Amino acid sequence: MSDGSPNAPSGEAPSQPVGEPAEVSSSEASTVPVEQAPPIPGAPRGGVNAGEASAPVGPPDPERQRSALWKDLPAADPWCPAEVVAHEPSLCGFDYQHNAAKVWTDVQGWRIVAASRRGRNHAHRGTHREDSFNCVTAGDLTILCVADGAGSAKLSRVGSEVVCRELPSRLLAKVSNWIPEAWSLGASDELLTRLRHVVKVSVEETCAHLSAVATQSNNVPKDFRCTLLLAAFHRGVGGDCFAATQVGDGTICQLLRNGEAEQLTEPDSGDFSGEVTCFVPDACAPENAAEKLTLRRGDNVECLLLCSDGVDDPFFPMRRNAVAVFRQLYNGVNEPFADFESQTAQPGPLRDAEPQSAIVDWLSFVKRGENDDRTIVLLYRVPVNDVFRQNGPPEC
Amino acid sequence: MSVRRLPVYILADCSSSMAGDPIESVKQGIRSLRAELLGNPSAIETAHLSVITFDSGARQVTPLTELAGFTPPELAASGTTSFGGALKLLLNCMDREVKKGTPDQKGDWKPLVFILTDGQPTDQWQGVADDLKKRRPANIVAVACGNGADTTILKQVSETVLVMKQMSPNAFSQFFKWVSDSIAQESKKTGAADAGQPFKLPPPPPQITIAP
Repeated sequence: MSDGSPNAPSGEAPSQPVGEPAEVSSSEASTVPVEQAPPIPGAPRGGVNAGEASAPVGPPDPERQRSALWKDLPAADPWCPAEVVAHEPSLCGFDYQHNAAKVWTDVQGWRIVAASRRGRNHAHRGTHREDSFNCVTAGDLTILCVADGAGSAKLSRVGSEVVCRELPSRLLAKVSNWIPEAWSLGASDELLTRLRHVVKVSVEETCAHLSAVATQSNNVPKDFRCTLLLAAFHRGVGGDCFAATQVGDGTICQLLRNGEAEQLTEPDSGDFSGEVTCFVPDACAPENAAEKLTLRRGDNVECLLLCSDGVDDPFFPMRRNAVAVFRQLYNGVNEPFADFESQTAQPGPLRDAEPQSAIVDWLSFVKRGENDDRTIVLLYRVPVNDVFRQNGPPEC
Repeated sequence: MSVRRLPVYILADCSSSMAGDPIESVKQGIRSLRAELLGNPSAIETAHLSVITFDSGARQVTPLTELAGFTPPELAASGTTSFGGALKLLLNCMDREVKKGTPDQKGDWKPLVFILTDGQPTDQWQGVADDLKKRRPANIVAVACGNGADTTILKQVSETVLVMKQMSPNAFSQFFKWVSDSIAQESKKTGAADAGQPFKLPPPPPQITIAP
């Protein structure tokens, strides 16, 4: 079992039983052999703007004036107050970066890539990214996690990071000693019941841990609130299977061999944008996560995507757009999605020699009113199925 | 996919008691509000403004319009105080103009409503106030201007009732600056928020107090 946190404390070298991390920062070179992406013929350098054909003429474009108003400020406050670190030693030395990305080397025919980018609203205000992600692996089992700090909670960035460190490891510890046959039940009711129980207990333990840190540091648990996306992937003799659940918003989708997409869990949503009724570490979270857990056979699955709301909202509904998103990540960007103002022109980020920084660049797409932190985690089969090897029209 | 908006409705009492400096101050306040918000990129991208006036009747003088295209309306004071009519019109406008979330579409952000009034309602208002409280379709701030407004009535439509004792141009100016700050704060909201919690506003300026 490994921590595998994308921003593990400096000076520590967490073990990685399966899938050594190729990179912990988007600025470092990848050691992962990747299928190189060809350049896009005729693609402009830099951004691709919707409807832009030539240099602007005439009076100043209000849209350009608006873009110029956005600031990119460093974070003014320390990422984590000393009184919190004192009660959460795993955060000691944590090297926060506005953008973070990580590639795990191929895991038995699968590759895991994750990237997270600070949103423009945080950059404009000079505050930190509040999204976090993590992946842990042991043997045939992989657990993926994304957490998004609630905007109204003052230490939600810390809450999301702690949840991504604690929860996957706790869950992995509870299932890693299961005999292979337990997983080979496939998508059976018995396996689903067992998984719901261990997910509930793991979320309970994580909530209790976070609440204890809050209390000991003279804060309240609500100060650390975050949403949760959690997925497990097991390769077994009885077939591969995926389990997924969530607390709050964001989405988990799977792409199928036939080129279709399915949403695995139901996000918490209301009449208006951003309305969530349950967060981690609220008392409702363990039961919520257990109830929403779904289990699917994975034989015809080509890709699993975990997207924080900063990615889910611009592409909503993701169940309809996930295939186009993956195709763009694999094949490259030569025109922006419909309704987007601009996207960075680039060859397929997943085939880039440095996929970490390429995906962070991809996350810089501009869509009016969509300025939240953006995090995407992909678990996908390699080599990629032909059905995803060409771009369809970028419609949403 | 479509742009998610932050709908903002301003309900302005234009009854005869608002004549003179007060109505001129409201007009200037709305102009300043627009100018202030145009310096804020997140407000430009999401905030949409509408103005509803009420005197002997209620009218939506400006439909929900994006900030860049919003023209501050001309206002004149006369007649009585159709408070109930204004609330009913507000509900109708929101039903028509605000997008709710569906499995295929993200909803708009929860609307912000600012109600300014200086007098007692002269029409039936209780039924529609009950409807507002039941449906909770927006985050509503009501401001009692001067000594004539009844905060007890305003508390029936809003959990956030402010009192502006002096109806001076400076007080209105401060109020609209605060409205601008409130809209800017809401427009910067990203991601999940607790659906059950009351929304947080910036602290009101010195000349405006929170009704006890």
